[in-house]
Amino acid sequence: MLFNSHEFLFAFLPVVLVGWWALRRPTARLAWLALASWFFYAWWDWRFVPLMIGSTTVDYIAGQAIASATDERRRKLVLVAAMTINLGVLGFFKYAGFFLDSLNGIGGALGADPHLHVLHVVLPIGISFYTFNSMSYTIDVFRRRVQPAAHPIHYAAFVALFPHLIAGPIVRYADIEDQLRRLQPRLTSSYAASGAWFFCCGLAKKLILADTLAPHVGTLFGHHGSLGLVTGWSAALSYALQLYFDFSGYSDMAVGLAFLLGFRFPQNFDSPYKAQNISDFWRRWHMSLSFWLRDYLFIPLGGSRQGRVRTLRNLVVTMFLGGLWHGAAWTFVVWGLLHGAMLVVHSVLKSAGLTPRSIALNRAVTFAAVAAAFVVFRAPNLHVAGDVLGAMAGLNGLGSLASVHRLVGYPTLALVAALLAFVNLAPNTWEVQVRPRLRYGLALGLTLAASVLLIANPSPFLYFQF
Amino acid sequence: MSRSSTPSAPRREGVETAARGTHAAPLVTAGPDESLRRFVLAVAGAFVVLFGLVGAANAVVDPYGTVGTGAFPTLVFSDHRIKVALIARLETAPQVVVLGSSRALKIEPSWIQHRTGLTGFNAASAGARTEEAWGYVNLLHDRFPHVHTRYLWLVEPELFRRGRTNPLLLDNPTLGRYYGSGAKGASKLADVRQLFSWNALRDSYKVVRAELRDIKPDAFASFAPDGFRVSDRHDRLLSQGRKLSDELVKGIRDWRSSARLNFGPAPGDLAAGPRASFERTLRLMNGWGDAPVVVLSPMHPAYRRALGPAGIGHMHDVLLAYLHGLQRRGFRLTVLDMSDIRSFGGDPNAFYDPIHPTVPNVRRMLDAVIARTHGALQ
Repeated sequence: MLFNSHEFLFAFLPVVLVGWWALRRPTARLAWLALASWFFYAWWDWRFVPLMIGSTTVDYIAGQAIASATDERRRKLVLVAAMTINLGVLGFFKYAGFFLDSLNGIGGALGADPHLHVLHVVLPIGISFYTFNSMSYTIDVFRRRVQPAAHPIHYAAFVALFPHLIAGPIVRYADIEDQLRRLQPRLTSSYAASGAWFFCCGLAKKLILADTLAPHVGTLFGHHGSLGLVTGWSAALSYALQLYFDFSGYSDMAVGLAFLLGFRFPQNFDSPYKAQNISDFWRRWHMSLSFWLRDYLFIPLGGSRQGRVRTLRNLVVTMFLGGLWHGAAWTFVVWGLLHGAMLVVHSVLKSAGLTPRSIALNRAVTFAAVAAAFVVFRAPNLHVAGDVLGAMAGLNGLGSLASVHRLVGYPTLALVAALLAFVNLAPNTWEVQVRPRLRYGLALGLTLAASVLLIANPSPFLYFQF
Repeated sequence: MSRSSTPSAPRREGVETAARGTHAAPLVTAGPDESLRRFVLAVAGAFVVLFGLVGAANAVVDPYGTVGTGAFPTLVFSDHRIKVALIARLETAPQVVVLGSSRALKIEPSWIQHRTGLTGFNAASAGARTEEAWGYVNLLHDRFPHVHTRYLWLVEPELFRRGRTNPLLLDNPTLGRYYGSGAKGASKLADVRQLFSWNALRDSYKVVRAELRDIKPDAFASFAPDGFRVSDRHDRLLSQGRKLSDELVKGIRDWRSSARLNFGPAPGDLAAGPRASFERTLRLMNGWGDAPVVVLSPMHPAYRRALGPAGIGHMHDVLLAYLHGLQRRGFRLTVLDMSDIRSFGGDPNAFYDPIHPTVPNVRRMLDAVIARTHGALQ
């Protein structure tokens, strides 16, 4: 079920909210939330609900076993077993086909013909997100950073919690543990107002901005072979904006829904296109993922404690795996490696004192690099990515504004220019100080209605595929 | 992503950052509880007012004919009303029935008769999915129950797109009776939903404007007694100088923006509902002893080239594999792939737009179909 669908807005959400706030006993409320979230998930494909419940059960049991074990070896053994199961499930559903296909390709290129049978497995939606949620819980229990869940229902509600289930933010158990233990007894005006603010902004970002850009991005990437410098950059910038408004819109909606349920979620975007360097970008873009990778991958690999070379290696490895997390395709691998390389270059230049002093220049260079890397992220294959990047590098000539007009029209160009200014100048959803004045409330309500009236053919969020 | 990448402290008072272990504080906090309540009520109130106004305006104008106010003519031109009337006027049973979407509307039963001697009727309708055929096949069989009928069904992946059954089909008193109440109920719900949209408001505006200018949608289409659409919007645009090249660019752009939304769970999948409907209709035809000729409809070569890698090629392959799979499952049908105009010596200039061939190309295609079906249409 999509947040931007009539089913969700006019049936699922009201029923869930009424039930949630009407019930009194905490366990009953959490059970209601877990059931509702499973229903939400089953709306897409009920066959994968048992998989999610299985994953939840494994980590719940692992958490209890780790917490109750006194023997360090046993604790480690349980942790390794839980990680193996989590990564095994993720690997099977997400990567098995890709690796076998790649092995066939590599074997073929080397003259051997392995003819491995390639699995075509349907990817359960949101599996990367809920697996990472679950893994962080088990690891944090192992590290004694959180207490194991008080009750299976607590844990089931945490994993399945529908606002973050499909596309994040990746909420860790530590983020929400106290909130689950002490549920809000009633929906306060403050939470309702904040929920309305975030949800309306998120829906508007998705339906008014991202979905407006989507077809034009498709057109530009579809003409990858005939793009020039201008059209190539138009494609890259349009997609960078589409992805930002789509994903940050989803995150805002998730935060808003959490508020309406009396929960507080962490921020997931902090004006990433205002970043002054690539490291800064990763502190602002998909923050819940980058902090997850930092805490559960980069630091365990040694972080920046073991010398310069190993720090750089750890950066590349982390970003490589971060890229692969997004999808089983070479485009994501290359995208991750590109970011790893950019982090390395930035780190080297910074330590050599060679980074520019101009904030404007730093921001422009960072944004251009990020937008160029997103071309690889968006392209269906490396060939298309190469075409678009080649056009952006001017290999196909300058092109013209007229060619952009022919493909997508001047209004789209104007929209892209306006949105570029917006993401660079305007405060983000979290920075706006909303005064609870009547006129702001009316404006927000009209924005909400304007957005919902756009729901003719609900389009999925880009990050659902991950 | 070094350890130094820990998020900085809040940059502005009252703004929460995502530092680990902290959470978003409610942002809309400045003010007494009463003003917060008013704020929330204002959000809800403004939403209800705008949403309701748009829905009410659309319900009154009723651009799709879903409410039945009758205050204005519907925007959507429906072939069904006319085709049902033409079927009622038929004196003898057609021996060949043409089925399909707008791409099949230019198939001339008279040309088929000229080539095979068999009389025919064109029961294709604009915007059709597979469900439409079910209604027409049943209607014609009920009208002429003891006649051996041959079916020529022009298909394309879009015939299997997701979505709801055309409300104008379900609401047609003659055709609607062949569809269950479940389909009609779901359709009504979808109709109501559709009224609450900017798209519907835009269409309401078009309807009102057309009414003020006294333009009737039916005026743009004329039909032969055998169901052939003699002239329509395509012909009008052609006569007004609309260029095929412009139509190609527009068609390619439109497909890119809509294809992702229109099909099944995975790109290129054929939606389950239309597949079930297609098979139900085939089963019915087979049960009557008829094996339809199913033809993959032609596309402009430039369109094929441009969109092949973007998904059209894959969708075509999926459809072809599905049709062959039906044959393996025991359905009786003849499958011909005419999507490439070289297969019938088609002319790339004889198209209205990327997917609608003009009469000369349709005639070439029919000649090839008749030649290759080895008597199935004779």
